[in-house]
Amino acid sequence: MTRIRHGPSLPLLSLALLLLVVLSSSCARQGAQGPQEERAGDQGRGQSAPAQTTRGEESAAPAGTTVAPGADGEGREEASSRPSPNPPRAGESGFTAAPEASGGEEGAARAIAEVRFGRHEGYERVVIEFDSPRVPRWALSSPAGEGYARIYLPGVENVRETGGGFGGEIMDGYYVVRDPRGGFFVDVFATGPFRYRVLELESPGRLALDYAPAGGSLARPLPVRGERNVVMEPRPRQAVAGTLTVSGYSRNFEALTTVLLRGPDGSVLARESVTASDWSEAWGYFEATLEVPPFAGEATLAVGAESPRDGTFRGVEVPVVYGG
Amino acid sequence: MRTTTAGLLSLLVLAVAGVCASGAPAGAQQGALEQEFRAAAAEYGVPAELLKAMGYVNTRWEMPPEQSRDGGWGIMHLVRNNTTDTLGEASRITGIPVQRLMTDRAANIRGGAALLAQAQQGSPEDLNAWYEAVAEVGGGRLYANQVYETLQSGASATISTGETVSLAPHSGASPQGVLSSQSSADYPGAIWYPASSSNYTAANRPSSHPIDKIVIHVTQGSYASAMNWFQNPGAGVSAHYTVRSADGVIGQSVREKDIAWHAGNWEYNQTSIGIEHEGFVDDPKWFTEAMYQSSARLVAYLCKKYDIPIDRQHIIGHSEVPGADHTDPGPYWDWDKYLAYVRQYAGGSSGGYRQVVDNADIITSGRFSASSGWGWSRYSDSRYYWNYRFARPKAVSDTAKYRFDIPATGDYAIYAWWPSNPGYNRATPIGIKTTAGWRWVWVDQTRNGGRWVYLGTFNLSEGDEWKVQVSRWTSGSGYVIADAMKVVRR
Repeated sequence: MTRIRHGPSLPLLSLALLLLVVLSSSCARQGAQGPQEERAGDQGRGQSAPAQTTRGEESAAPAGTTVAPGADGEGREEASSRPSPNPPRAGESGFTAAPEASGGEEGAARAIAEVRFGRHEGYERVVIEFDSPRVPRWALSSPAGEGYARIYLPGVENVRETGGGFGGEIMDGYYVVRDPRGGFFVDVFATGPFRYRVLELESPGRLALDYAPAGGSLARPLPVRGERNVVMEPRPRQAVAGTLTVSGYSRNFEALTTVLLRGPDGSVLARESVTASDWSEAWGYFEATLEVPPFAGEATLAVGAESPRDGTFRGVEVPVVYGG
Repeated sequence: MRTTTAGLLSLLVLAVAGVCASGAPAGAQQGALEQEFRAAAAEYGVPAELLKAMGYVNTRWEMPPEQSRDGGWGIMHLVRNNTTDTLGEASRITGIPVQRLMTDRAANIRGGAALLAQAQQGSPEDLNAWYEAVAEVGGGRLYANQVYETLQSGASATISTGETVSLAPHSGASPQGVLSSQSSADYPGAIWYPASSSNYTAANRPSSHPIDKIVIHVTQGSYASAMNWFQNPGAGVSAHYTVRSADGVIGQSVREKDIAWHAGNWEYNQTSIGIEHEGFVDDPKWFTEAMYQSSARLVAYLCKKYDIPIDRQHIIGHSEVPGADHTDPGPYWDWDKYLAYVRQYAGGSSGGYRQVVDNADIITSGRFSASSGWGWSRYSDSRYYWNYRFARPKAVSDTAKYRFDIPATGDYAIYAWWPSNPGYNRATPIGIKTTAGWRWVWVDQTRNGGRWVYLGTFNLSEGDEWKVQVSRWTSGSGYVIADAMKVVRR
């Protein structure tokens, strides 16, 4: 049998040497003054995110700008990791409160390969890394005063990260959710009002989302979030009446999510079970519709599922009041 | 420069392979596929017969037009999903763009050969020395065993392009036993993929708790993601077994002696075995013949092992567990067929013979045959399983054939499934080989699509042969469709 083996050619040796140099310089940079960036822990695994420094991310380019690898973006990362005399504030350095933003390239990537978190002077950053050199089409929605931004990624088909806590000052955590319309979306929650900035980075394709505190308070309470259920609507103490749509995402067994409206005395006023868009690969989006009867005082919306172990109901609770 | 060098070498190897092929003895005419295997084997220094055996196990040497359910592409099943990326790896090694590896048969085979070469240390002449590399590339020892069993037995087929491919038997090829780390599965042949110990209760069944029922589930997701989730310490859920849709592969996550958390009812959990099936309750395409048969074989094994009666009181759906609000396995799960298979595999009464042959089901692909004059399509959503074949009406003897293994001479009901469309043929001839010769039925394929259509009851003779065929020899201009056929014993 003839077997053709390619011996190490000169170009290959050169490539190996170049790689060695790049790795060495990267290690040196991390050891010396790398940014405090963490790989986001997988919330689904119940792990806290280890404070592990990985590699740096470029920064300070305006939203929608693509920074080529090796361009001065790399250098700016070191600068941004040092204490800055002029930390970015809301309204500066490209930070915005705009409700929408978009970018990317159609079909440029099919998978979310990794999600990382980093603390920087005056802002915090989550980096969504893709499985290709470029960033796929994305659209960001950041409802004013809601405390989160949602990044739609309609072309993404697979995800290797599904969510995790950041524990940052302003950036709290993220969820990767299968969008019933196709692709996935990523919700990045804040601890309070924020302005944001989006950067596109190449090789590998990365989308960096920065949050800077904006001061003041949120317009609405944050969504209730639990281990396997997140309720986006309604929010705590919201007035409800008539036909109520309960929406959110979950990781309940076989995607079955149950919504119960319990009256002040604990009796079940309404109940609906729906199938979410996923559960095992990522968070699955759900919407359930309930007819809310009149009630006095504070009722509780319970969202979750029966435990596969013993059938007891496990989930989160959202207090609501009657608004009829 | 590397690409150029590799390209020149490829050309050289292809040229050499071409010369060798042209020097083959008369009568041993090789098709393009044979040459593609040999060229790839020569280029990467791997045994051509091994590549052919892998290709046979993967797709029966067909080049699938789309990815498999687990993200595999082409005859070499180069995979890209959220856990595996042999497609990307093959692209990196060969320099061939991913898109081409997906769609170009020769490139796909080169990709598979490159992966095999990379996985193998050295280039041994002994085929058995490649076993671990085959297991690594193919995803495990079960796969490697299938490849080596194919090598042992040899194989031949005429594929949809019309090419005839053959693999000579290699008596020295030997499948190997699974390693101890993988033999932890209770069920022989299952892949052991242990759940996190946080997701089940350790026990010593049946001593600690009798096992008297089996609960059938549907995952509402993929085989891999369900078993991955069971490994997540925070999941709070598990099942003993999970069955893959495309090929019936079985993974085991919890030992039978332990109590998996699947039923949502502690009493039922303590006394049952939970089996997940990859798919969605509202999409019958996931419930493949391969999955039904594989799962039924497993259930037959469990029923015999724990003396569980084979009936609907003891083999139940998740939806039938008291207190459960789940709906799986749902209305598309064919309980009659399933229990008949279980009884058949358990060695009891057949409960009635029933067999489905689909044009694209990988497992049954050896039971379907059509020439390259029949195109592939997934255009209609009401197709059975993966895709269907279509052809323009023509006065030629060019039928799409279905092979059935009839257990005994007798009366059998025949059903056909096609996706309907106003542009399809109104008088498609379907032939049934009865004990009195071929009988023909003409069906209107502009109507009644997406369901089993009863063609009649016919007396069929015992034996495994081409029993049903769809002909192109008809009037009109609408496409003649060949999708799936079903035979049920009366």
